Amino acid sequence: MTRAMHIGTGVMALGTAFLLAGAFPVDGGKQTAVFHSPAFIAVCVALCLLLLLCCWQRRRAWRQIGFHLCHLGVVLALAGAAIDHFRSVSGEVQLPVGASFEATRMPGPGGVPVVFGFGIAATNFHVILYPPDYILFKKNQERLVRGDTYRVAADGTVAAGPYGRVSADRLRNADGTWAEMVMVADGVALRKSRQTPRSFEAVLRITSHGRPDRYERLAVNHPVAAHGWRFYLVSYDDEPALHVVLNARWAPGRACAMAGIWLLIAGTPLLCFRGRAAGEVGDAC
Amino acid sequence: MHVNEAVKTLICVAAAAYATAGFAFAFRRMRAGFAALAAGWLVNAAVIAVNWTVAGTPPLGSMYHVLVVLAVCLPPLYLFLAVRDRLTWLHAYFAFASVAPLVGALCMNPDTLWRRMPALQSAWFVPHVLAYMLSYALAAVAVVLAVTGMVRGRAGAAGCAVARPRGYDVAAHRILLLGFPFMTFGLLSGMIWADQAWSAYWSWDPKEVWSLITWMLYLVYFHCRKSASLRTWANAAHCLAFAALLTTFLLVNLLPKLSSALHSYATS
Repeated sequence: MTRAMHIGTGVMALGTAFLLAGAFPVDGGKQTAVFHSPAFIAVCVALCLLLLLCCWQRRRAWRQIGFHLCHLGVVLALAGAAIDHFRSVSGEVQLPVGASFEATRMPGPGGVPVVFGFGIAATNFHVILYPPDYILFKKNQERLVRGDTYRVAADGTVAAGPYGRVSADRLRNADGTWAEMVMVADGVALRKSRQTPRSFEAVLRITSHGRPDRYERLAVNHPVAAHGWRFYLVSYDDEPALHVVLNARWAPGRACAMAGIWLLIAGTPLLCFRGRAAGEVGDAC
Repeated sequence: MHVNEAVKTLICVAAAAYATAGFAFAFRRMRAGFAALAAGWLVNAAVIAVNWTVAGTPPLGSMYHVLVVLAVCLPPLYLFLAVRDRLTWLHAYFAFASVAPLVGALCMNPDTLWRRMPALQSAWFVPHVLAYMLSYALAAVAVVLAVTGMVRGRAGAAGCAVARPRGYDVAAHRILLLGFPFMTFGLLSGMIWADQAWSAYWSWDPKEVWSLITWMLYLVYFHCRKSASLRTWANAAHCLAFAALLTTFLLVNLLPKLSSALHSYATS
């Protein structure tokens, strides 16, 4: 074990102590300020330097590829995170749905607008809802008592416990929408609960001068990248008018951090399993 | 019978079978032990099948769901370690370790009305949670072995009969070497997923911070184990890492003061 690795272990323990300091809640929720403190950043920088030193000391041992991938992966991930910490810009855009509503800027820090340099518009927004659950209500001395909640089965029916199965026809209105209430016995009714979204998505139109308009699918877990910015569909609302809420983020360190993450994903099994295969359990990680 | 009651009965049967297997292994009734372990695993798998059918999607969305999955991971991991590392003597540890998550699941709401919210409709959902469950299952067995090794080592130092305290330490290390890549994948796949869903790969959310603390402490353990001068700290780092793991897995979800806004759907 080299001296650099020895010190590196101590620095990791120190970094963990900082993380613990920021993990325990304090009144006002200001504990996370420790993660942005110069001391914590200094610990991260020291760790990166020690990791690079460890790699340099083993520069001829290229058979230990897992070791290099892991250590360089951490350095890249921390470097990307540091770039984003100092340089990234992010904000929220509330965008009415429709081709005529175009946003070219968003509110930035301190109320100063951040200009994208291009326009975005959300169109073709639609929500896929789960079928509703039905809640049993029973009349008991002029009061309605809430009972069990029943889920709509794949065939569109509801098995309402002691009241038997309610057919799909009875649960649907003539226009195909779900019935608000279905009587299953005298004084016993199934009442529709609020439907929750399964997914929602829109088409994002990106317009910039001198270029044809681009149309991209925008959904939760499916952001759209344009001119260095990434747009994320976060939520939607139909009050006062239908609009979507987007997160917009410009993160110059993202690619570096992602490269580090993928190096770590590839390197860790190589490092841990190679040591085992070579019978060097104690030297594996 | 209501689905909740049927599932709870099945969980009781699986836990009883695992416990029977553990006692059978402890008393060297190997055939009975393996039969009970296999029976427990099949019933445990049946609970997952019921949960999957009810939810209509892989059942990994609540504490109840993941505790049931955690228990089902342990017997196959034992088989893997027995074949690969010849750690066949760990059967009782894995059998008893399978009981604990099922007892935990019995204390949770079976949550038969759980549905995947839009943020969970991702290809990363199953690999992220499953990788963490595999690593947690292995880490639980490893810490029991490490503590047993420490206790037996002390008993040996006090002049009592000792059974291979060094063997426990080596076995715990081998198990962690298998589990750590899964933990790393769980952490990093969560970052990639967060980058797609929440617009930032890291948000200093309590669940994220505690999972990073856990990961760092296991790293400290591995590095301490490599150095003769730091080796005495390895077991302490290991125990602290497991305490952090329990905080990440259970306390962040169950204690309101530590609660995670972004991972609130994991609370049962």
